[in-house]
Amino acid sequence: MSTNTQKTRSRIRRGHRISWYIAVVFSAITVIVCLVSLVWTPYDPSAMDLPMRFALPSWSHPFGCDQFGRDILSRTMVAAQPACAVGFGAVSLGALAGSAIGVIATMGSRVMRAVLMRIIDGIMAFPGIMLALMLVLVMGRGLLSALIAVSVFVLPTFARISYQLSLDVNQSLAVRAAQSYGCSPVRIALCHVVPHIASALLVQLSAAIGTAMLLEAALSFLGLGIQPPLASWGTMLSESFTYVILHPHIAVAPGCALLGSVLGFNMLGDVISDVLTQRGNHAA
Amino acid sequence: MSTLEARHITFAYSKHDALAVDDVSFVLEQGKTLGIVGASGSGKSTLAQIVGGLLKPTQGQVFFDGRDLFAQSAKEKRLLRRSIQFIFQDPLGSMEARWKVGQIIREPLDIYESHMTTHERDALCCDMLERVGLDSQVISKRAYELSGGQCQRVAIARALVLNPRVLICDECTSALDVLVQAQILNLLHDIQDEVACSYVFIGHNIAAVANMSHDILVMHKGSVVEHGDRNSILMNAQHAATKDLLKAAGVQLTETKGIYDSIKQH
Repeated sequence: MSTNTQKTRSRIRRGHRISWYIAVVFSAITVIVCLVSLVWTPYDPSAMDLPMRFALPSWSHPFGCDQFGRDILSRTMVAAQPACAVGFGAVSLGALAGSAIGVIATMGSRVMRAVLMRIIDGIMAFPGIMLALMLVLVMGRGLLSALIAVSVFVLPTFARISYQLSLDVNQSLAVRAAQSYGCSPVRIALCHVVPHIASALLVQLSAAIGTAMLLEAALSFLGLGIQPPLASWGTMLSESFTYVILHPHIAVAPGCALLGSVLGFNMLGDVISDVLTQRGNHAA
Repeated sequence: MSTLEARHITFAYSKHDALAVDDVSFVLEQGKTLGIVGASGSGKSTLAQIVGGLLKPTQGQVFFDGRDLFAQSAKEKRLLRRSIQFIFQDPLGSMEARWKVGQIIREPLDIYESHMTTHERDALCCDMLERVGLDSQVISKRAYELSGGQCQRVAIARALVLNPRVLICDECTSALDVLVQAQILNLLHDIQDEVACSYVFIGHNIAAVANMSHDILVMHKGSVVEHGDRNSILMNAQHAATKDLLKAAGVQLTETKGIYDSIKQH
């Protein structure tokens, strides 16, 4: 093997390791901050202190204060809660429902398969944000609406992926053998299909968490998600929008938190994919 | 007494496709072996899946113990299918490679013998492993850790664990080397002597099929071109397809027979 090839490989490995660190550190920080904010924040995130309006970052307020004198660090920490709730809750819900639809579609008759997948195609035909906006407008504003809207947004992706993967697994000899000794369709789905498609869905799940957090922030930014005075990164960015020219520091913390979380969870998907591929290669 | 009977089986994968199986009939008696032989694409495996109840024929009927397999309710069909088990060509592919051997053999018991305790099921799995010539310690190994021959023995153990009356061996020795092939054939012979189950033995190597079968059915392009007892087919082949298969297997016939005989003597 030439020295150049070795150098290139080592550079790729180093690149992979860096993205692993970024993914794990950023997603872990998001989750830890969310958990810590449940029991402790430096200040009350809703407490206004008007003399401190637009206070610049200092030792007492590391990220400064917003237009009402509220501590930005505390609000950024608390805003991780709806982000994680929507990220984990909505994605888990959407992934579970979508994957179930995908797997069930492959178990059923051709008619059932066609009906289910055309419904999924119909949902997919709407642009994601438009669909979420529509659902929130119908159901009303708030965290629950955002959660359901994001679930519906991620559901078709999981349905499509699980459907395609299940079709492939169903063609395998192992499944044919299972049918030959009398496995019921439900048992085949649970014991033979789901374990094979779970790893691919896990990769998608992680990437979808980042997307869901971004969508929640977008809904809140447009005033359709978390409502003030509750904190959300989207709401904080929206509120800072008016003052961003004169007081740019109030947008930095929520912006960075959103960027870090989305980046972390998206890259975590790649990391999980790498780990599973390596494990698969090792087993083979 | 006939165990399995196929009457005028016809099958096409879709309306526009040519017939994969065209008007095939046969009778398989208890304790006997029917060899189905033919070139690749002649419809052997499709026929096997139909008589095993995995594919519904476009026309025709399959009778097991005088009962029409496809006229039964789903539940009854599953119960009937318990008595018809398959052994496939690719042993590792036919099982979950990451599962432990115990889990693989136990799965049919989990389905049909739910009243048995875990301990009883495990004991039965160990018995099965010993019956197919494997050490019972293999039970805790994962399928991908086994050799091709060991995997096929595990597949046979899984097929036997429900005490089937018909075993459909779909090219079950094709992926194995000649020595292991002969060992597996020998094992299947012994099992048949012990439990008098019937075999539908499918292969494209007429030498291996002839070793196992009482009757042979030669398929060509979905149709049966010759059907009769083993000796008449081997000694007095009429159809060009049969002659081609015999010609192709000429050397293997002697080799396999020789190895098979030497193993049987031991």
